[in-house]
Amino acid sequence: MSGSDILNISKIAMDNSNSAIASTAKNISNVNTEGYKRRRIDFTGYQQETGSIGLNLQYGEATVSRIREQFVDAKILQENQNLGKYQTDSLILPQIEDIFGEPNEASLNNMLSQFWSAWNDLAVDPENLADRNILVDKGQNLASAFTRVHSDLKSLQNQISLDIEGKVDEINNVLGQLDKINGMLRNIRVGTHEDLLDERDMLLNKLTQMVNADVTLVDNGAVNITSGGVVLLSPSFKNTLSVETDIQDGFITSTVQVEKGTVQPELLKGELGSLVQLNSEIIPDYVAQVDAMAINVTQEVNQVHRTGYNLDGVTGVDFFDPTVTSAGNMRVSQALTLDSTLVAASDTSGEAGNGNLAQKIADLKSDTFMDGMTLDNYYSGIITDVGNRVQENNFLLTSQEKVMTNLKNQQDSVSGVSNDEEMTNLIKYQQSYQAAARLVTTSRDLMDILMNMV
Amino acid sequence: MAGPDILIRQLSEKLAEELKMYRELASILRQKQKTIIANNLGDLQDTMILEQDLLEEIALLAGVRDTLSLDLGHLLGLRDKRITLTKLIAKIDNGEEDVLTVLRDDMKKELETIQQINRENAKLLEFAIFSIHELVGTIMGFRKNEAPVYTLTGTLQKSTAESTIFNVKI
Repeated sequence: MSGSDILNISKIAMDNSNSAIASTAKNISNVNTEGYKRRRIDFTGYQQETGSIGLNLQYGEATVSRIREQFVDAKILQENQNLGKYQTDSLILPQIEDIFGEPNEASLNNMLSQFWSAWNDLAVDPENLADRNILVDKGQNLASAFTRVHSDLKSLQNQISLDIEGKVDEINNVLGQLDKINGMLRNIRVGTHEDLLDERDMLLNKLTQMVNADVTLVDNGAVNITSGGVVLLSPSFKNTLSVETDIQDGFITSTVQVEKGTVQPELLKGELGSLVQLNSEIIPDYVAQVDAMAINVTQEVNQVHRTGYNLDGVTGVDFFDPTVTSAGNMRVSQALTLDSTLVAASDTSGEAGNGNLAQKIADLKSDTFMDGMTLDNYYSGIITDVGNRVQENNFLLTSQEKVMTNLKNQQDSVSGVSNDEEMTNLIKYQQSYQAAARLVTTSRDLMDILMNMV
Repeated sequence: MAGPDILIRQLSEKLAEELKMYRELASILRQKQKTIIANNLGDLQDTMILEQDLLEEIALLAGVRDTLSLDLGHLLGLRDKRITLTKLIAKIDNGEEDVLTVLRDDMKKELETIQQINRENAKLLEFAIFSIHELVGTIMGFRKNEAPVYTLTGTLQKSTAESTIFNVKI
């Protein structure tokens, strides 16, 4: 055998990157690589030709396949969408809970309670200036509590609008990368594109965590992706998400749309689904309820207060500023904040010591002017709803994390690299090759003897 | 003992049979080379079994041929302990020497081919065994790094498996 033959053989052996040993080597070196799927070589019809000059070997169809369980992979993509939603909900819902801040010294519930209590105190001693000053303070504290909740919810909703824009950018970026991969997969031979498929799967995992998406595999590993009834990607088409914002009373509501098409995607799952629902449904709903409370308290208290008489015998005065349109601008009438003698406590003209009107207002605590409920009960309903959402989401998130852990374990048991398994494979190869080498020695010795007999 | 003509005919027949086996062996060895390159252990095992069986048959037939050659050599007056075909052909002059010459040349050519493939296969196996040895070393490197690391007495640090295939000198 000439020197060039030996070099040729070594080169062939080294160039054979699709060989089982190369696959094993790749598996081992990627044991800690996220998203890497174990490789296995498939042998189908390789060729060898021994030419007149040296050796000419060709490997036609020896292909590498990724070990994977398609059902588990598809299930992970599906469950990712729930996980993304629950994870985002779990970050934001507790913030809503914190905004209401129950139970707490400065909470709305406590402020309401102190406000009604101050009217009770005034009913007992209507001419007491200290009680009047305290009542006005409590009214201001109540209005501030409403304003704070309103303002904090607004900040949160507006922050979520920014997050939606960021998330849409991220999704468009991933779609762009998947589009490139779709294009590359069209021109690559099956069996040589495993790294691209790993990258595709990583991107799909990322995408499905961000948005609800139905993924269908088409020719050569390319994908079709639809979301909420709208096509986002196919091998010959790429859509882009965009955000449209609407600002009302300082509240920014964001709507996600597609650039190509008139149908708005229905976003129910994934991080974006969570953000959109929080931004356009959940937070606006709480804001509306808090606003309704502020407006109703203002109207009910003013309505009674206007019929009463203050220490100067004047009637028809509003306790709260009647121009209130939401919890955000609720406040005590400015005149009363400057002079608490203007507070009406008597229901009869000329009877300054009569506290009947103050008592009537204190009794509003038990009046069912909020959709047939008392203010306390209505507010409790809001707090219970927020608490339930947080608790339910925590439960769902914990369950979903368990589901995902199980699925990932299943995926790893099929696709993951085990050093023990690779080691076992190598030892199997080692033993087989050593046996083959011994047989070559035997054959060589026999041929030498036979050659001597010629 | 039969006469020289009969022995020569018998020898020709055995040589033809042997040549057929060499050709079959060369074919098996080529197939084996493919399986080594493709690391297809299942096929490699199958071809090795065929090769081993054929080698046993060849060795048996070569033994028969050797006895025939010795007998013929004695009849033709050769006194050498080792009788080769070339020596026998040189002593034959009844026209059969041409047939034997063709057979000998063909056998020599096949044997050279087999030796060539064997050398190539030996190289390929050497390379494969070396690669596996290195990979086993790499895995053992992982194992070593996965063990807890002690820096100070009583201090246990979490393992840091940082060894990769690229850290290994090949």
